[in-house]
Amino acid sequence: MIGLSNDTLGYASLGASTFLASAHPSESCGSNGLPLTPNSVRILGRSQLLYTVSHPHLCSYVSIQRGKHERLIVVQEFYKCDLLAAWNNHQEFQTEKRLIQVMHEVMQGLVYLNKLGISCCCNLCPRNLLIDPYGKAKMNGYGLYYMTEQGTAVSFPIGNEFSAPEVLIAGACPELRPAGGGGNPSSDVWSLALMFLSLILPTQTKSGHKEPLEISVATVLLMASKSDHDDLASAIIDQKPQLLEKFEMLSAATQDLLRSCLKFDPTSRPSPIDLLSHPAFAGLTLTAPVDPQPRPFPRCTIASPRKAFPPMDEMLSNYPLPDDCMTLNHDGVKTGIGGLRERSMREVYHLWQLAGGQAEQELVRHGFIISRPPILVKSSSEDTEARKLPLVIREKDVEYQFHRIILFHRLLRAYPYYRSRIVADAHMDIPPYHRGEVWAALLGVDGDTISTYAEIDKVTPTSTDRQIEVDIPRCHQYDELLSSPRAHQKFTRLLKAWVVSHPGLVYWQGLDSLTAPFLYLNFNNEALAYACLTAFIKKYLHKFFLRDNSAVIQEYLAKFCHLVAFHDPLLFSHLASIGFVPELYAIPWFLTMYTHVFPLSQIFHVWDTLLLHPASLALCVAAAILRHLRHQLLDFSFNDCILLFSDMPDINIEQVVKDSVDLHLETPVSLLYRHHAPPSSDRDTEQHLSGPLNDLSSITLAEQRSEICGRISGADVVRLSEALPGSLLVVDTRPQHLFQTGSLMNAWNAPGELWMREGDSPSEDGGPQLVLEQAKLRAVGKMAVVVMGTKAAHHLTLQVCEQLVEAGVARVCLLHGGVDVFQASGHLVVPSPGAS
Amino acid sequence: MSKETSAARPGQRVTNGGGAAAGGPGKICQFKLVLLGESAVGKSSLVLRFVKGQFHEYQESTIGAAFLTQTVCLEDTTVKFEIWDTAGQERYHSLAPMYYRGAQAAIVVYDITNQDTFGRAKTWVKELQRQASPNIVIALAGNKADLANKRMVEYEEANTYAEENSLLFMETSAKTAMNVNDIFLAIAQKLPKNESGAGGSGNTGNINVGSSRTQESSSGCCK
Repeated sequence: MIGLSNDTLGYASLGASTFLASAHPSESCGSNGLPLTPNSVRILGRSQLLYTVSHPHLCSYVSIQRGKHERLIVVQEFYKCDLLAAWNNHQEFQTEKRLIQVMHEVMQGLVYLNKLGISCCCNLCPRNLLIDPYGKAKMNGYGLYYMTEQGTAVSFPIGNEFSAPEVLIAGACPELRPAGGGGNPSSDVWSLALMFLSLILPTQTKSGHKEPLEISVATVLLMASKSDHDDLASAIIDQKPQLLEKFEMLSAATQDLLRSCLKFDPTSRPSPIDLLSHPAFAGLTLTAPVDPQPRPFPRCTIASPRKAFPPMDEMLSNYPLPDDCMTLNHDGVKTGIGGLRERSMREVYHLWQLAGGQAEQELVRHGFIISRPPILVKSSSEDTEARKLPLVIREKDVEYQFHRIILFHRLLRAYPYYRSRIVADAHMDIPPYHRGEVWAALLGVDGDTISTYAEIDKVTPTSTDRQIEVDIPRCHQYDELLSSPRAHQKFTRLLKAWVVSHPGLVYWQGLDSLTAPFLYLNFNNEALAYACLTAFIKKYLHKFFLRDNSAVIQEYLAKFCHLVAFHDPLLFSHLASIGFVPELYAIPWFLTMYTHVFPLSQIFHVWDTLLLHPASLALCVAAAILRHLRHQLLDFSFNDCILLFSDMPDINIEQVVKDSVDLHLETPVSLLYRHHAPPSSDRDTEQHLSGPLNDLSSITLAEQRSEICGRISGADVVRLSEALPGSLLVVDTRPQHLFQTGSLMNAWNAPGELWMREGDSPSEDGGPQLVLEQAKLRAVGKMAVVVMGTKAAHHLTLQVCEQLVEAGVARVCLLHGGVDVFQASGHLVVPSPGAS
Repeated sequence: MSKETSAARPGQRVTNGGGAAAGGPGKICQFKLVLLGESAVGKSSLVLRFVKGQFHEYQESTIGAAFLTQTVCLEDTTVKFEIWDTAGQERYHSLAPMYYRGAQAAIVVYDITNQDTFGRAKTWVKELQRQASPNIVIALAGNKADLANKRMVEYEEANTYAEENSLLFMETSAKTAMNVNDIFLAIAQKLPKNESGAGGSGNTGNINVGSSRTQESSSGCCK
């Protein structure tokens, strides 16, 4: 679903931890009178940023979820060896050189976090400093202080015996916490230096065993309260002179480093970024850039291959590797990395969950876990059987998703060059894991989305702000992520950005719902969410957000009526007779492209298909919804119908979507012609050609709205009758003598006056009843019933159409421009004598 | 929802006698009622409280309009409300006439914690007095009365305004249900229960989005 960091699992395990957010007193309200957002939801929103962390000295966050009763469960990259274990088991970790290197590595991680906006971790200690098989330091648990809003969202203090004096004091007296601030970066510097000090000046037990120097919280606070020394190192040595000799054996640079990092006064302590260039670190180089890298959407431009893991013999000796890396192959060599361990942690975790894994359950079983994904993926080629299963089952099928994820992962790396492959494969289905980016690809998002978004003014107040402000707290709030304050901020920025960047268009209520799926799928990439929203509206809701959009909407609704009359004349006539017009129920469907109608889980499936089709598919989705509720609607009165749609009933959305695609295929393209359709692009199949045979632009809105059925273009008639001979019934309503001068091949001459004669019994050439019966018989199995007359007698042609629709004849349409359009094009032939 | 109900399009007829509930010779009257007011003042919440007895803090916004029905009993008369709950955003204003046209009653809602919404309510009242059916019963509802500590519109101010304009007036709370049923009952009391009085402005036929009143005769797309 969400994810920026894509770090490979490698030799890591996944570790889960859990804590409780503090509960609000019941019935407490915020300043706006609404109940307070639960702290766990606040945390969930803030914690999303942690997913973006990708740095070699920081353990990746894999999952942060809410459990019951304000519980949060955090799954993070994990190693079985921490700094203390390494120090105990490996001599080299007791040397100054090696410990300085560890400190340098952690310092890089801290700088990276600071740049990301996480100014303080607050809980650095040897237990949270993990050492990977190659001896590299990896910080764990660094996001707790940040996600809990400096510990205010939990009822326990965050910190430990290595915490800086100001952190210890704030932990004991919450009112002393820095207001609004994110903590002080130099607090972490203290913890790091104190760890170093305790490891480099160990004490010897009677049994000859070495133990880290113990410096209690009380000692630290006592020394800080006295003013004899500026820093802890000097104060300790003053108290324990026997340490002086050892301390002076350290290099001068290291001594200076420790003294300055252990200053009692936080304001005179350096911050991590200052320290990177400290002389103590001379000769050490950065492991990786310390600037967080935004992940650009078209990714292929800087696709660098993953670095291979170093050989296993470069590992620390006796390192506690995960069991599956320790198995021996035929030659008796450890297998190391293989299979799922090549994939990213997040992917593996996602698959593990699909396979039934639940972090919370594991925690219940063990108290804590070091999990290894129990997924067994056969190396067989793609399972074709799975393709036939229903979509919702495919989305939960571990093996199927494994293949889909890998496929789309590769295709996305090659976007935009492989856009056509992505489109082709998305026709099968879209793996939820990659949905956000697949959608972006389908929408053709390209270019520098990040700078584009960054340059937009999302701050200056505008007259729309009040409306946006009242709408957001009501938009898809059943979803916990979207109900978090962080999501509300992102919503606001996205909507303000869109409004300010589209001067001709305005904010209509509903735009908020339209933004929700993009925000949900790209929570950590607002720029991409914005680019998708913009591209989507341009294609699917062209002109809908004009200040005066009534002409656009009226035309849209008229086309919807034509579509219903074309495919289901019986339902159409019933709904028309009870006055159940789409103005009363379908405006939110179209204006929000169903995002105000369905929950997110269903919107995803509607849009997965919508994005593969031209804008007109949205009309067919509405027609398919009516078709699914047809039996009820036919039976219902006006009130029942409108109540039915006031609260959209549960419908099989996968089937509705499938039907809408069928309806779209079965509808001649010109029947869906709209003046206000977006200008066609090369990528679309929708064509707007010119010439009298093609050009439908002379239809007025009044005609669109007053005519019972849609108009077909001459070109469509020619195309259909050539591609599928016999698929059309062409009804030529001109008088016989005109018909004999030339008509379309196989046209049926049923002159207008036959349809109009009232009252009398059937004469020899038949009355209205007889001609209708004939029409019904001839229309069976046809793709379309094209009614045509002279342009001058348009009203007559229209009346014939009305009679056909009222009689329940399906797929009736009217030839735009009358027979006249074929006169010049040479499609008319003289019928053989006796025809019709 | 019973199936015998007739169309709720503008201009309801009053069904006399026939189909009355067993147990009395009572009449059944149907009235079309419309809710108007600024966004997020609680229009949908009032209806939801009245019709389903529910309340959602994060009631989603209304686009276009929503429709619900509810029946109340008054002595010997059963009054069935057909309620159109409209979108609050000013931009949707052009849709409003098709909902209030032919309505016999309207509730104009404002939020007592927001002075601007009261100003908007007055504009709605003026528009109804000018454009809606002349006999329309208008009620003014000062909603969110449970947030009295954030009050920005004084009871007296609204009450005076309501008296000057012959409006029913109550402060309501969809959250606590205060005065919600009462305001609908008060409207039901005030509505004329005889054939001549409740017919409204007659059946206007089709509903045309965005069309002006003069276009009523031209048929919609689905006639």
